[in-house]
Amino acid sequence: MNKRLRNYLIGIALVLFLPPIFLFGAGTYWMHVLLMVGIMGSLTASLNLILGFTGQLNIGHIAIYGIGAYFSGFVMKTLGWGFWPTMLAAGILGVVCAVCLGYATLRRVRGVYLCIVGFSLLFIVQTVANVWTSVTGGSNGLNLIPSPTIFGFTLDSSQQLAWGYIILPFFLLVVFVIDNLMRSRAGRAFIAIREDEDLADSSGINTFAYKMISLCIGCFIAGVTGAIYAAYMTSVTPAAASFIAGLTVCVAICIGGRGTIMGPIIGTVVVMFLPEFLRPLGYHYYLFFAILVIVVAVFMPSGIMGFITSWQRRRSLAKAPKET
Amino acid sequence: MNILPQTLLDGFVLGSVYTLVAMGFAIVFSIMKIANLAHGEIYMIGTYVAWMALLKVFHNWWIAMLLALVVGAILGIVAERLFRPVMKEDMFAQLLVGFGLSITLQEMMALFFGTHTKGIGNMYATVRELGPIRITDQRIIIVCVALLIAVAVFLFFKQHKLGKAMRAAVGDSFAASCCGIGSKRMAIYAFILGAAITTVGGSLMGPIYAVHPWIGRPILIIAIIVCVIGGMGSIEGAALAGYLIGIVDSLIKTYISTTWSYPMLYFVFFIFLLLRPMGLFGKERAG
Repeated sequence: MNKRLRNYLIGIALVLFLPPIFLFGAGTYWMHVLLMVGIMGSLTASLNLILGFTGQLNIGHIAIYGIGAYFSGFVMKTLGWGFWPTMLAAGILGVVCAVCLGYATLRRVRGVYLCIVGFSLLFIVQTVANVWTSVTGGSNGLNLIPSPTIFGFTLDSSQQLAWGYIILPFFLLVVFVIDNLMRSRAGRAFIAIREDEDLADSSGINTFAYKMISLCIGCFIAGVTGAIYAAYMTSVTPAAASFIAGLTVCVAICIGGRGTIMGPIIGTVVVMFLPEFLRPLGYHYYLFFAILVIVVAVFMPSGIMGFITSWQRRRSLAKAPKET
Repeated sequence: MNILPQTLLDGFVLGSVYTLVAMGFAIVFSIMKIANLAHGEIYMIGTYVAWMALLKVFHNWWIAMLLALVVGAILGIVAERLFRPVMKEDMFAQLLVGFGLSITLQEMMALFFGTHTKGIGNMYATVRELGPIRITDQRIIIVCVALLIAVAVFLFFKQHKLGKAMRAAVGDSFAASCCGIGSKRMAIYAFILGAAITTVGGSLMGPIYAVHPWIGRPILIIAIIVCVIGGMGSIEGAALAGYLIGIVDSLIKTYISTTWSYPMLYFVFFIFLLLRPMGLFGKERAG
């Protein structure tokens, strides 16, 4: 059995057994944390596709998630849409945003503008969320979003086991899709663009097209994830797409390891469970977190997976036969 | 009553401060190629210096500005220290450091000074009237000081030996170091200058705008918008665009709505990016 199949079997086993273990072993609070790991993990994986694999520094990615969440909340609450069409629509909205962002930034100028526009987009989403009270409910947020129903069974926030079997398989699916994507020709193009965009361009890779593709796929996933968040939480507040949340996603990528498949998973787990263990810090947690971000960026830019890979490399070098 | 001249004047006042902040950002970006995401917080600290110096200690605005200059220089040194390890790395690490520093500074100020908005009250509140426009002495001071600083910075880069050295380090850092211009030292000077200008801008604007830990974020966005429209990497562009954006901002606030001023500004910025991404005086090559 090759390594990849083994990893996915482990993943499927975790998806099957973690929800009941968390819910019945640790309680509803930790189950909620697990579900948020699933949601934020999907978001982190989608950003990893854009940032880690294609090298596009869209640090405002969480804005797309926020737009997806608000859009879903609005259409489910005010227009009465069902959950599944909303998910698809939110994903498509994400792609629309990606196309706008991409055309504004990728066609003419270097990726630094994508970074600036992405960051500003996050600010704009926050401002609009607070200001456009008729649609978004202002700082109180969009509340009382109706929960999805399957076969007459209502999935409100308390049905955590059912949500666990929606969110965690979705997360695994996202990881699987990205993994397959990276093993395809498009994936190799992404890595080529990340490593040296001019060289990729002169090798005949249509860098603009591939950058757009990775941006669109990443934003599609982010939009859908936003819809899931809106349906599970039944309320969307500006805090969902705040700067701290955006920074959290970026740190998750950095800690886990950019440009790896396991990286977002590890990073999200660390970043979601860290505040739980640091509860005693109280409100000072944000200060601690921000300092941690600086420390991680300076000392651990390749993250945990980077550390593991270099450790494995050193181990295999040590095992190599000596010259006689 | 025609409020256009008054709006334009208010926009010019606003623009003076935007210019200072944007120039600070542009100096660091053009010389170090670093987008310092904590730049807004440097402005914010400037406002706090003004608040402390004015209300608590000295009751003198000029001393507040000088103090802000000194604090800004210190902040510049600290920021350079933090960015130094990641200057060689790609942008992601720089962005994280900037982002992290920004939130660190916000939380520290909230911790030490509380989260509620502070007011400084009016000084130099004599109102002068010239036809349809009314202006307070305070705002005249803001405009003059900002203009003075902007002109001083231009002359510095054009004439002064150190300014020319910094421009040399941008153009060709290897050749510059062959002539004895160390790029590491230039980095420190760039940060010091950029931060000092911005804190003075904060001390100018603080009294009439707002003093709270989160004022930095919209200011950062405005600085970025101004720099992009002026042309990334061009300090003159940032200066001119600062006044332009100030006026546009004031027009939007007066004729459309205050709450929507930021989203609309961003929309203008977006259109600009689509049509003329290199800005007005852009030095960065496109694509």
